[in-house]
Parts: sequence; structure tokens; C-alpha cells
Amino acid sequence: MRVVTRGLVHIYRAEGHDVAALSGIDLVVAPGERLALLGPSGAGKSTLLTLFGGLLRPSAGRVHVGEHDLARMTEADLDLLRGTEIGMVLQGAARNLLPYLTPRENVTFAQAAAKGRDRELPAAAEVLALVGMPLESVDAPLSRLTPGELQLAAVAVAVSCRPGLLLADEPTSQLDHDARDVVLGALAHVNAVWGTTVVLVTHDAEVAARMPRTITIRDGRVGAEGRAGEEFAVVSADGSVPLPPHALAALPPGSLLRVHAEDGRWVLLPEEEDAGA
Amino acid sequence: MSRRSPTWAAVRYRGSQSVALVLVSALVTTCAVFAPLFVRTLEQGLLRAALVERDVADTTVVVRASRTGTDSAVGPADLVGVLPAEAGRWFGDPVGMLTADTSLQPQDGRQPSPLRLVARDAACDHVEVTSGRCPEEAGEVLVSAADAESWGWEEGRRFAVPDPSATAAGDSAATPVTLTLVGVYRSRPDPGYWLRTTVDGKSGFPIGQGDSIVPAVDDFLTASATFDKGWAEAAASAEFPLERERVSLATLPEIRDSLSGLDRTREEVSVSSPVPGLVSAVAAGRTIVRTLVPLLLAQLALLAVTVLALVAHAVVEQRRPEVALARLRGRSREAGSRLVMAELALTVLLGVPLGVLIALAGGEVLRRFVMPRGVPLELRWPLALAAVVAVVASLLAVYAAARPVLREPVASLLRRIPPSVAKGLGVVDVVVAVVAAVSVVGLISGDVDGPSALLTPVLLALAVGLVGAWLLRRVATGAGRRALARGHLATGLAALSLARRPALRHVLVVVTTATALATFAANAVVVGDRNRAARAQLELGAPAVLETRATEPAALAAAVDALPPEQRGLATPVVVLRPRDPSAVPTLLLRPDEARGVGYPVIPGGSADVAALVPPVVPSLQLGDGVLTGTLTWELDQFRSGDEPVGEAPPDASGIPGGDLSVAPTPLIVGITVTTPDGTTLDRELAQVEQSARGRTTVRAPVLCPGGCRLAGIWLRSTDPWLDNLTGRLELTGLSLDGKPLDVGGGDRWLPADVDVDGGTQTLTGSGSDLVIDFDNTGRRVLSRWADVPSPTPVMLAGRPPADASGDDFSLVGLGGRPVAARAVDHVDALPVVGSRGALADLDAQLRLGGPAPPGSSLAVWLGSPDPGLVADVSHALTAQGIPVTTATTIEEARGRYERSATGWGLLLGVFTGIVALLVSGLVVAVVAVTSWRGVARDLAGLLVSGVPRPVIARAVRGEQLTMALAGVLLGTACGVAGAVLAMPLVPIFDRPAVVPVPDLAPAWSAIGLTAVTALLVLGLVAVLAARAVVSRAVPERLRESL
Repeated sequence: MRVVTRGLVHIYRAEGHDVAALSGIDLVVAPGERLALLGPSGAGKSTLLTLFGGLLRPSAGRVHVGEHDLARMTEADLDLLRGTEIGMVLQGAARNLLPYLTPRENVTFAQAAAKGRDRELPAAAEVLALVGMPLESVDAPLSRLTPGELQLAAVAVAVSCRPGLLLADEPTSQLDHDARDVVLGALAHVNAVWGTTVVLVTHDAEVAARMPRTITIRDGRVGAEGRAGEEFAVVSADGSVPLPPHALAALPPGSLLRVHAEDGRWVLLPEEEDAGA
Repeated sequence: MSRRSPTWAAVRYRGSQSVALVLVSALVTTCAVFAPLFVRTLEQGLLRAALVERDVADTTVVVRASRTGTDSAVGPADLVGVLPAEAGRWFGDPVGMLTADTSLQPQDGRQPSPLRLVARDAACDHVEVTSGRCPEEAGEVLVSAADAESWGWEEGRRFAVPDPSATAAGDSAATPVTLTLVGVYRSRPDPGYWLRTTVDGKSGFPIGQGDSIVPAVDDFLTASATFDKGWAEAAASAEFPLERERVSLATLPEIRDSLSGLDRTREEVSVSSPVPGLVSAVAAGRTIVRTLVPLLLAQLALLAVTVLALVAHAVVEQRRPEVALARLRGRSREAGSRLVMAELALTVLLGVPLGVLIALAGGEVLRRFVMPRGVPLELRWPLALAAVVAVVASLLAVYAAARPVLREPVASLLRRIPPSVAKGLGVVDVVVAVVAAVSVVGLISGDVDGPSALLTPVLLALAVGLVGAWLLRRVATGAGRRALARGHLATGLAALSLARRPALRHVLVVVTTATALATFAANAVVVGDRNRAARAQLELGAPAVLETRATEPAALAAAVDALPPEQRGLATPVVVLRPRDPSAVPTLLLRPDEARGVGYPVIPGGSADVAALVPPVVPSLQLGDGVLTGTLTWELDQFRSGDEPVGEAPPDASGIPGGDLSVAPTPLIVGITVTTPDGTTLDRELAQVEQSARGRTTVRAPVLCPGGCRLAGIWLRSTDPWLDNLTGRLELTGLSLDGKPLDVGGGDRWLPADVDVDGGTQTLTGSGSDLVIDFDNTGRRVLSRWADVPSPTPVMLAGRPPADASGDDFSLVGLGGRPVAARAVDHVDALPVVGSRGALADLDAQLRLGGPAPPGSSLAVWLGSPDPGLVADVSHALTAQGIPVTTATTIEEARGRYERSATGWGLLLGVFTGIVALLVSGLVVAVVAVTSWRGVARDLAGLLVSGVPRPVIARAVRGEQLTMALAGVLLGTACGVAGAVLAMPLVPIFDRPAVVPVPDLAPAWSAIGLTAVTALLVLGLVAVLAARAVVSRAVPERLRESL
């Protein structure tokens, strides 16, 4: 499922102050793509994920998930979309699960809305198997599950309705390396088997490194994009290019630059260097 | 794999929360179901106390007719038609009776005793015929076994008795009616048959017959044919006993209505029907019950529903993530709401049967241990309706509490910390506060009254609780910061937690309201009990009272005086004289000193100085059947020589024979007045004083008192119509009775004289057996009374004096029915037994005057203890002395009569209310701890990790819990006291309000204090346990995400 944002802005209003969490995000996630959103705390990556899930309405701009313009959808339509096309893994495995149900029951519970709409869904056991949940844990009380298994259950619940888009907020936080790898493997497996687009938020560079594409959010904007381990600055629709941190240290805000094309490359020359030259 | 219901799994997962919610729901249901159950049980109790448990005679319609009316041959059969046909199904077959009063000489030479001839339907079936047979023919009679034994009557004896109707008709030669004794009977106790009729049991008791005292004779039972001829003054009656088993609450109105058709058109017929009055009393009681009970329970139900809403709100707050998950997995807002509501509804519904069971158990306890026997536990449709109402109200409360949360957007639901609530007072808070304020102002100004005002205490408490919670937040915030700044970590953490957690402030509202309700209810119960006790004490006079069949107060007093020492100190005789004239003042005669020790100190108002009722007096001077002797000398300043010219006749000369105004002077007469033991006043002439300047004569006068008599006074009287003024001196020397000197000298032994004219005086001096009487301008007659009885009689007066009173002086009915000059030396609000109108006087003084108790009087013995042993012993001792005890009433029984009333039982509900209110508040403290422990434990774990020692954390948690409990109890107690002061005047304490004693509505501080302490202990214990449980769960692992 394709995800497209255009000039996406989101402003939180709290106690009389407006805080711009996102300031014009332009992004396209291709169907079946796996994408990690990176960035420091408060950069806006979780807000972006929430907007993808239709849990928040954008203050400005557009969010398209598949053919759906989320900003124009009603609350009921969004509910339906989340029950059929968008799966979400909230930060903290337990928040995704009803504590009094087993993993199988949780998956069944999560499928109820989609089943009510006559949607063909895989069996709960099949979903759990897809994410790699050990068989002996399928019907175990959640209190007996390891943290990794809990997270797998959370992923299973999120993909229970075979969504086109899977959104995961910090799915590997508080997990040891082995468990982290298992969860990442599960996400990759879901992506590979069902072609589900996967967007996850992480702080962990190692996790990001396991994703084919990364987007770094800084100050509510797309700060960089990584592909196959290499990071690129992204030219935004208005022509601006956010500098990477090491460049920004050398070129503080307010610096004057000349942009030259040299030998087929684009060169940024500070004014002093230019004058000295 | 078996599929589990997510709802059921959720209920089980939160076991303690669910149990708490089930209990609160059960409480709501209990309140709702218990109300109609309690009302119905009380109504059944009232029915039994008022009708079913009464004597059959109290519920019998009696139709009477006298043959002296228009129908001289009327019989019981003629009276049956007076009862309407539609009433017949409620009343049993009538018992007909003909009676006639006559007299009989029990033995030759004896004075006739009154006799009653009785012909009662099937009487022989209800007596034991010990010998002979039942009367069948006219003139045949059965006599009582006691009479047969006393007088030696045997079968075949013939009695000649007059037919008063023949004598009254002027037939002086009327032949006496001959009655033939054909058998001897002994009555069998059968209240359902005899009703108020007693035919034997009085044989031999002295009774008044004209001027004589004669032994009583039991009734003669005869055949109705005896009355076929003559007996034109006979009375006929038909008694219709109420069929108890047909009486029910449902049939009461029909019974009353059926009696409205009683035929009262016949002049000679009178109908006595207490049933409509009793039915009305039950109806009035039902009205009180139906007002009082729902109001008390409505407050409790209001509190319970409020608690349910608060608990539901707290529980729903816990469910926020689950609702968010449901929405996240594609469920609509409504479907998400259903998820939570299904769980809450299931929990609430689980509480319903429990609540019904608790209500039924309460009803059973009430029925078994409080209500009269035979009250059924009725499972009627209102109970089911109440349960349905409880379910609906509970679900609505839960929905109302859950709705705001369930309507939040998903993003808000997903937040770990819920959006902060408003810091100020909410709209509901302000509305409640305003309504409470209006109610309080209305109560004070009198604009709000009636039962609805009873809701004021709870409204007031709600308002105070809400405002208190708001203030607590502000105060706690400042106090917490200051405490932290000073390094008082535990205090600061406790205060800041109070300020931060809305659940704790909700608890404050509930605790305040519950404590106020419990305080108000406990106070109402104790105040009601206190007033019922006061009225019972005033009504009865002493811890136990033995009513006797005595007619001679002196005999009663003598019997009491003859009691064994261990009984004598706890007993005192009491006589109540009730004049037939309703405007006259009833007289209560007792021995003030003894009564003060034996009876209750229940005389309200006045200075109540009983010593003033017994002024110092001299001993009575008893004169036997001897001869008084002595010497009388006189000096008269005014007298008539007989030579006076014929002049104008004195104003009262009309009585002079022949109108001859020149009759010779007649002597003055000196005499004494004596009283016999039966109260008869007799004058005895001592000597005649010739009209001369001076003279001397010998006194020799027989007293003529075979039974002994008492010197009451000495008098001088003019018999000369021309001499209307007496002035001079008499000297009575050597006055002796049968040669024994009489100690009559000395002015202090005589009361100031009664003289006929104003300004006249008489003084008595002398010593020993010599008496000097100086009199001046006294009119035609002068009397000096022996000072063994004060005159006027000092009395303590309750109520207004009679219309003919002169200031505090008025006339009182004394023994023998004689008027007694009385003076009110003290005014009180009420007196024992007689209530708001009566006069209390010294019994002994009146006994000196003598005389029997007039008809309508009651002669009783007060006992200083209700101990059954003492009651039995004194009863036996009195009976052995010829004073039969008819009834013994203890203070418990007297109180019981008031307690077995609509108000008594209704206020008892206060006990239930108080207990449940405290349980509710304790439950709320526990519920809040249960529903919030995960979050609180996580917070505390954070503090632990930050280095705050566990003991400090424990102190802080205990502190916040105890502060909330203490503040709630204090505020609630204050509201309860305010409610008691404001609303108690509106709480009915008696079914029938009375003037005295004035209800004492002062707060029962002991009950209030006990309730506050109990509330503090209960809530404190729950709070400490809750704090301990939460602190024990505060471990660092909580900081990690956990299930």
C-alpha cells in the first residue's frame, strides 16, 4: 500500500501554546516497501506515524494511504480503514494486547471488526505462525510470555487483518538483541509474504540499518534519507535542503552560501571562502 | 481450544475490581429492594400491632340498645341488622346478650348488693358448670362458684329480686322476681367469646351501694326467657368480633368502608365500633412509613448510585487502553463503548441477585427479631420492580460515568496520562452546592418543609464534600510544596498526591456524604429513642406499675405499707382521680418523697419542688367511739338579749318560722367536725352557748364513730337569724375523750380559720387539753381546721387551671369525689400518668380526709424496678392483702408500644442506613485503591528508584489516605450535626404527636461521637490496609511495561 504525504503539517495545541510537530513533510512510501523513521526525541516521527494511522488529523497538507485521503475521511471510515488496511503496533508491547486474553484470543479479538465486514482473514493461528510465535505460547496467558513473545503477539495483532500498511512505533525497544532480531525478522516476513508496507519508528541505528530505507526527521521536517546504508539530504518541494548535522556545525544557521555547479556536481561555498577565493 | 468470552475474561482478570463493583451494585440493589420490603414488612407489623394482636374485644363492633327506649322488648336478634350485610364477611357471628341490673340480699339480714342478670348466647358453652345444670327456663340462674361458696347457696335456692323497671314505673306493690338456682358456674377464659364481659371474679369485694359499702356479687347467668316478661330496663347487645384471619392490608379499606353503612338511625341503638379508628391508625402509620422509609433509603440510594458512578468512572479510566485498542483494531466508537459497557454491565448485573439476597436477608432479620410475630416476608411485584429500577439506575450511572471517556478520540485514549480534569468546580458541583444552599436557607427560614427537607443533610454533605475536595486540592498543593521545601518528604509527597489524584478527592466527597448520612441517621435513631423513652416514662410514671382492682386508697396504701421491707422500699401507692367532667382537672395522688425515689424524674418545667406539696403538719387526732368531756366558758361581745325592739328583719330572716321577727334568741353551737375512714364528714355538737355576756357549761358529747374517726376541725355557729356576727372568746378546758386528755391546745395545731365575712378573725391558743378561741366579726359561722391536712391543698399543676379558678386557687376532685380546695404552688408542663393536664397532690394528706376513689379512678402501685421477680412478689403480696392486681406494666412494655409504631420502626431504618453508609464509604476507599494501584505503585516505584526510602513512601501513602479519611469524617460529622439541627424537627418521632413531653430534639452527642469514631476507625483501617497493599506492590520492576 502506497503512502504519500504532501506538505504535511501538524500542530499540537496545549495550554495556549502551539507547537509544530511536523512542518511540511513530503514523503512517498512505495507499496511493499520497508521504511524506518529515525530522529531524536520530539522530532515528530511518532506524530508522523500517528498521522499515517489516521489517529490524528493533519493541521495542513495531505496524507494519502492507498487511495484514501485521510484528512477527508470520517471517523467511522478511519475506524474501518484501521480495521482492514492499516495495522498499528503501539510502543510497548503490552499496550497492544488485552491482558486477560491469550495471543490467539487477542488476534481473534483484533479480527472481529474486519470479520464483521465479510473480509477473508487468515486464522489466528496462521497469523501467529507467520510472525514466528512459538506454538506453545499461542494459547498461553500473556503473563507467561517473554518480552520478545509479547512483542511478536503485538505484531500479530497488528497484522491480524492482513493490512496493506503496518505501522510500528519502537517495536524493538526494551528487547534484547535476540528478541529484537526475531521481531525484525517477523516484520520482514510479513512484508515478504503478504507484501505489506512496513513503516516503523526507531531510535536504534542498528535497527535502522536492517531496513532498506530510512527517513530521518529533524525538527518536523525530513532531514535525510538513507538507502542501503548511505544517507542523503532530501530536496524538499520548496527547494530547501536540510544539512546533515556535521555540515550544520560548520555552517551555522544564517550562513550565506553560494551554490555552484562544478564538473557536474553541486557545490556549496560559504561567503567568506568565496570572498577569499 | 475452547473459546472464552472476552467480557467474562475481563471480569475475571480484574477480580478485585469486579468484586468491588459487584458489591457496590449489590448495595444499590439492596437499597432499592429493601425499601418496598421494609415498607411492606412495617405495614404488616402495624396491622398486627393495631388489629391482629389486640384483644378481640378491641376489634369488636358492639351494638347496644336499652329497653327504656322506644322498643321495650328489644332483644339481641333485633340488633343484628344494624351491621350492614357487606360487613358480615369481615365479622364473625354476633354474640347476643341481655343484661339487667337489680339487687340481691346475699344472706338474710345483710344489705342488698348490686346484682346483674346476664343472658348471653351459648354462655354455658363457655363456662364450667361445676354443679347443677344450665338454665333453660325463665327464672333459672347459674351462680358463680365463689358466691355459692361464700354465701352457702345451694341448688334449688330461690332469690327474690326486684325488677327495677316495675319499681320505677310506680308499682310499689310489684312482686319481686323469683330466681331459682339451678347450677354453679366458673367462667372459662375465652377472650374471643367473652370480649369485654366479665361475669365473675368480683365476689366479696366491697363496693359502694348508695351510702353503704357492701360485698359484690358475681353475675347470675340465666336463660334469655327470663327477660321475656318485665325487665323493661334491660339492655340488649350484639357483639360482632372481627375475623382476624380475613384481615389483611388489602382488605382494610374494604372493612372500613363496609362499616360506613352501619344503621345509626334508630334512637335506642348505640353502636361502638373501634375498627374504623384502628383502620385509620394503620392507614396513618402506613402514610408515615411510606414517607419516612423511602426518604431515608433514598438518601442511601443516592449515595450508593453516586458511589457506583464514581467507581464506574474509576474503572472506566482503567479501561482507556482497551477502548483505544478496540478502536485501533477497527471497531467503531459505539462498538468500543459496548466492549467496556458489556463488562461493566455484567459486573453490575452480578451484583443484583446478591443485593436482592441481602435485602431479603435484612427483611428476614427484621421480620424475625423486630416485628410482631406472624409478619410474613412477602415477595411481591414491587420488589421485582425495585430490582429492575436498581438495575436501570445502576446501568445509567455506569453509562453516565463511562460516556465521557468512551467518547474521547482514539489519540486521547492512547495517551498514557489522561487529559487533566478541570481544576475548578464543575457545573455539577456548583449546581449541587446551590441546591444545598437553597435547601438550608429554606429550612432555616421555614420555606422548605415536609419530607423532602429530609434530603437536605445529604445535599449539604454533597456540597460540602465537593467544595472541600476543591479546597483540599488547593490547600494540599501549597502545603505539599512547603513541606518539600522544608525537607518533610513524607508530608510533601502525601499532600501533592492528594492534590494530584482526582480519585482521592472523589473519595472525600463520598466519605463526607456517607459520614453525614450515618451521623444524621444515628442521631435520629437515638433522639427518637430518647423521646419515646421520655414519653413512656411520663405515661407510666415508674419502671413498673401494678394496676389494682382496689377502690379504697387507704386500703391500697396500707397494703403497700405492709409489704416486706425489701419490697417496701421499691413500692409506692398512686391514685389517679379522673373526674367525669372533662373540664375538671385530673388528680394524681402520690407520696412525693417515695415517688421521687421510685418513679422517674420526668416532671418537666417548673421548679418541681415536691417538698412544697408536703408542708409540715401535725399528727392526725384520732377519735374513737367514746365521749368527749370538758368545760366550756364563754364571753360574748355581741349577743341578743331578747329585749331588742322589733325592727327590720335581717336579710336572711325569711327562714324564720311564721315570719315572726321577735323570736327568742337561740344559742350558739360549738362543735367539732370529724371524718370517717370512708371519707364521710360528720359534725358533732359539743355544747350550746347561751347568748349572754359570759357563761359556763359542761361538755359531754358522744363522738359516735364506731370505726374511729379523725378530728377535722372545731366550729362555732349561730342559729339565731338575728345574730349574724360573732365576736368574743371561748375557753374549752380539760377536753378529754373517755377521760383521757386530748392534746388540742396551741395555735400551731390549727389552720387559719374559715370565716364567713371579710376581715373576721379567729385565733386559737392554749396548751394541752385547754383551748382558747378568740373570734371577732366572723359572721355566722367560723371553722378552724386541725392542721393535719393543709388547706388549701398545695398542688403541682400541669396545664391550665379550671375555668372557675381564682388565680392559683381552684377546686380539685378529692377522694370520695368531694371537692378539695387546692392551690397551685408550682406549674409544670406535664405530670406522670395524667400528662399535660392534671394536679399532683400528696396522697397521705388526702388519705387523712378519707374516702373511696370515685368511679373512673385508678389505684396503682409504682415499683422502682421492672424486675419480673419484684413485680411478681409485690403482686402476690398485694393480692394476699385483698388488693388484686389486674395488670402489670413495665417500662419496656410501655416503650415497646411506641417502638411498635410506624415512626419507631421507621427510624430503626436509620441503623441500617448508618451501617450501610459506613460500609459504602469503606468500600469506596478500597475500590479506589484497587482500581488505581497499578499506576500508584508505578509512581511509588519511581520514587524508590529515585532514592526515596521505602518507609518514607509508606508514611506518605498512609498520610494521604488517612488525611482524606479524617477530613471526610470531620466534614461529614459537621454536616450530620447541621442536618440534625436543621432537619430533625421534620422527622416524625411519634405516630401521634402529643403536647407533652415536648420533643427533645437536641443532638445526641454520644451517638454522633460514636458514629464519627466508628467511621474514623473503619475508614482508617481500610485506608491503612489499602496503603500497605499499594506500597508493597511498589517495586522497581513496575517501571517496566507490565501487564
